[in-house]
Amino acid sequence: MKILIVEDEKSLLDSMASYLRNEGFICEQAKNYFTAEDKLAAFDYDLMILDINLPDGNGLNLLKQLKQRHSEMSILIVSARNALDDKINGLDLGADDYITKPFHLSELNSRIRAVLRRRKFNGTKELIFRELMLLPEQREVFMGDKKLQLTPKEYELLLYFVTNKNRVLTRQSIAEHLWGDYMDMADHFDFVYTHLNNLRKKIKKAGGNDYVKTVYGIGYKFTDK
Amino acid sequence: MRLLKKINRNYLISSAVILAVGLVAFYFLINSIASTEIEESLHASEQRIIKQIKKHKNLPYLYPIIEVIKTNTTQATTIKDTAIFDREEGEAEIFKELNTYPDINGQFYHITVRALTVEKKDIVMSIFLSITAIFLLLISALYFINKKTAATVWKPFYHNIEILKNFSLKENHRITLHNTDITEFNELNHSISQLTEKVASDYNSLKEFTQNASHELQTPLAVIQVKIENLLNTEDLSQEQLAALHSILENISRLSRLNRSLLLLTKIENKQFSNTEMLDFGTLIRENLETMQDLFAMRQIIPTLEINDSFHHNMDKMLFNLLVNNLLKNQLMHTPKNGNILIRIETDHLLFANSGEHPLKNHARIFDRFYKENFDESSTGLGLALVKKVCDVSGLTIEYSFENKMHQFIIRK
Repeated sequence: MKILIVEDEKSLLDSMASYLRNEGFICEQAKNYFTAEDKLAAFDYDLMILDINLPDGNGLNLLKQLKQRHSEMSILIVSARNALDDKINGLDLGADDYITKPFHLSELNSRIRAVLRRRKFNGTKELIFRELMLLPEQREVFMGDKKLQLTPKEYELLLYFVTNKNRVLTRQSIAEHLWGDYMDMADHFDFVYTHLNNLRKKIKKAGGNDYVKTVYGIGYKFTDK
Repeated sequence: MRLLKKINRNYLISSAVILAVGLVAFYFLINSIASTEIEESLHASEQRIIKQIKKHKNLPYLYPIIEVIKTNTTQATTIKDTAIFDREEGEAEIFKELNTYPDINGQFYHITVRALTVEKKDIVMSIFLSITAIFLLLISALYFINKKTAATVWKPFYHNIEILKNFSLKENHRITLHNTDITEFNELNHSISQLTEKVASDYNSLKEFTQNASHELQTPLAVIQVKIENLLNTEDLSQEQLAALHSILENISRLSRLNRSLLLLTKIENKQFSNTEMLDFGTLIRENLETMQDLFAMRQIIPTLEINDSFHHNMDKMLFNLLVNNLLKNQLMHTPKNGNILIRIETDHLLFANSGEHPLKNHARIFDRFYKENFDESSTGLGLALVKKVCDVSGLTIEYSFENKMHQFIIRK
């Protein structure tokens, strides 16, 4: 899976690339509009992560060009602006999703996976982690042949874990993933904990293993190691 | 004190002083003129008497006006004031008395001629009365003249003051002041126009700076956050190091939320949200509540939504959501477990109420930026400031009160 990351901030670009490489993506980097245009002309990518504020041009123009060429490439916009204009503009122009700086890498990963699932595999591909099988299209989870009855939030939580397996996920990033903007408030950790506990109970009841490890003081890690 | 009043007062005080001085001077002047005249008339009478004595030899006598007696000695002529009891009038009167001792045909005579002087208190009284009359006339004339002048000359001035009172940097309107044919006023208007334009342009560049600064902050924050998350996934970090990293992450998130809220406030102030449409508050609030259902449920709170009538208002939908989200979030944060939340929609107002133990300590500041009733790290202290700002730009008013152990926010059109 090939990804082009367009971002003018070098250290952010490097960190994103290194994270995504660890996730098994092949990453190429473009530091400015010019390089990005160049690479897009020469190579094919499955997905582009696009910062729309570039020193030598507006990222939205790259988006327009791609759409004119009827490119099948998925596009995820990254912006420092949370201006709704930008968001609507970008999505109108054919971007698949929009993420605001600063973001959690695990959130970025989730969004990329979701976009790719929607595009490439038409949502039919199932996600498998040991005895758990997730069907993103139907939003269903199976333990062997037993279907787990999960609430939408519990499903989201499990999907987030499976997508970001073997990674430390902060409670903050989980809360923001599940509740978005509503989560800038007190005791959101309790909220995460409540949902997580319910999820654990349901998996256990169905005879599954508990793959959620608590990382003390920080959050959780979904791992079988 | 108003300018006109001040000018009038100064006028009156100085005229009173001048008139008082004038009164004294006038008194002495009239006094001296009168006594000179009387002396002259006494001398004239003396000459007439001397002529009569020469001609008719008989001595005229008309007490107390004229007395003539023969005498053997001569003395110097004297003039003096003397008090004589006047039988006619029944009181002592002041007379001016001339005593001469002329030699008429070898015989000395003592001639006394007297004239009734004008009484001092009569003079003072008449002067005082006439001057007071003049003074009153002057005051009333001044008052009416000034009133008439003020109505015309000062009209544009007061009008401009009204314009200036309504001037607001946030409105971003240029002010147009009324010019007159008075040079000083026009100069003032010119200076004010220049000043306000300068201030407005400074204010705008400051706003622009705030907005740009907020944007620029997001990227370094993103870099820090991403670096730390990468670090979290490296092995062999000690418990303390993990805790420190987590604390950094939390503060980044706080900083970023703060930054976004400030940016949002600036944008609302700049009126960057202006896609107004007619919104049905009831339906939209129900949608918002449904989104937050599980958050309420986790605190064992079941919010009650009572829609008694439809409340429609023309405003930006994005701002509306911001308004309702922040109010609901505020309620969620500040309602105790198992507490009550009531949202009621009436024809002319919306009520957002939630249970609480005590009224706020400082309820006047509740909508201030960065005001926190309880010290709470995770709160930005901007939520209700945003709510107020949205109401302000959307033609709504919001009030806070505490009644029946409920914190209440009432929004009206």
